[in-house]
Amino acid sequence: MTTLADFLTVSMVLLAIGVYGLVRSRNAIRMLFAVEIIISAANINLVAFSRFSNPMDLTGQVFALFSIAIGAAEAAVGLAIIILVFRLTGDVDIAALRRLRK
Amino acid sequence: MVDPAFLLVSGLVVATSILAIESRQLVYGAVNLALMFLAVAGMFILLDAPFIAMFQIFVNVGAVAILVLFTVMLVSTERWARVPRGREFWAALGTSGLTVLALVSIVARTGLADVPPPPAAPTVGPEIGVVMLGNYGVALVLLGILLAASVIGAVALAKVEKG
Repeated sequence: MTTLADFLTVSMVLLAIGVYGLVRSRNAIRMLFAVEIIISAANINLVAFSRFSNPMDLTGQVFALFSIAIGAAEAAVGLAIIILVFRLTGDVDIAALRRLRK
Repeated sequence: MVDPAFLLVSGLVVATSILAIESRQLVYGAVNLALMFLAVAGMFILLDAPFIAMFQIFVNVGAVAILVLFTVMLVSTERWARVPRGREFWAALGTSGLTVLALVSIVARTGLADVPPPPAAPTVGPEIGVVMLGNYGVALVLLGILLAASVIGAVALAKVEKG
């Protein structure tokens, strides 16, 4: 029997992997991967709480739908920014973007 | 006794997400990200949410993963293949470890682990559409506007200027 804690554990491991990837990598595309992993963890959390708190109430699932759609919008804009940065600087290394401050 | 299907799917989710972050070639990372999205869809099926699983496959595996793959192919060069394992590795490991520690200490205090499993969920049919269009119709329309705006913005950002 799978309990709520099992799903929360998987989601937490995913969050840990995503945070690790965000801190570790300096490649903008890989950071986007990490953000997508974190969003997936959040979606699993939403659906799991919806399933285990009140299965008849589908509000949690609707929220997961909205979250997935917003994640897709975020990925589209993020990838467009990455392509733009690559065209401007010839690199997608985050360290190379520091001069945007000036 | 843990469900073997749950073990399989969760192992797949964790393994593919680690590979997406750690794979040496960015293209393999993108492929592993697509597999991770697919495994998360399996997780939704285990949670009795087949509609969400379908949506996840349509949006994330179908659209986002392909978008990521094409961007990697547009942008990728061999220079970024290496992932240096230096101070950043331990910093990242420490940060994610601290995150897990904080979450565990919060969750352990709530007694969430003792939540009894609810009775078998009903099969989700058209009810989710009623909830989505009834209670959250305005949010749905706003979401459509947001998606259109973000796609138009992405095209405008990535547009190649000639001359």
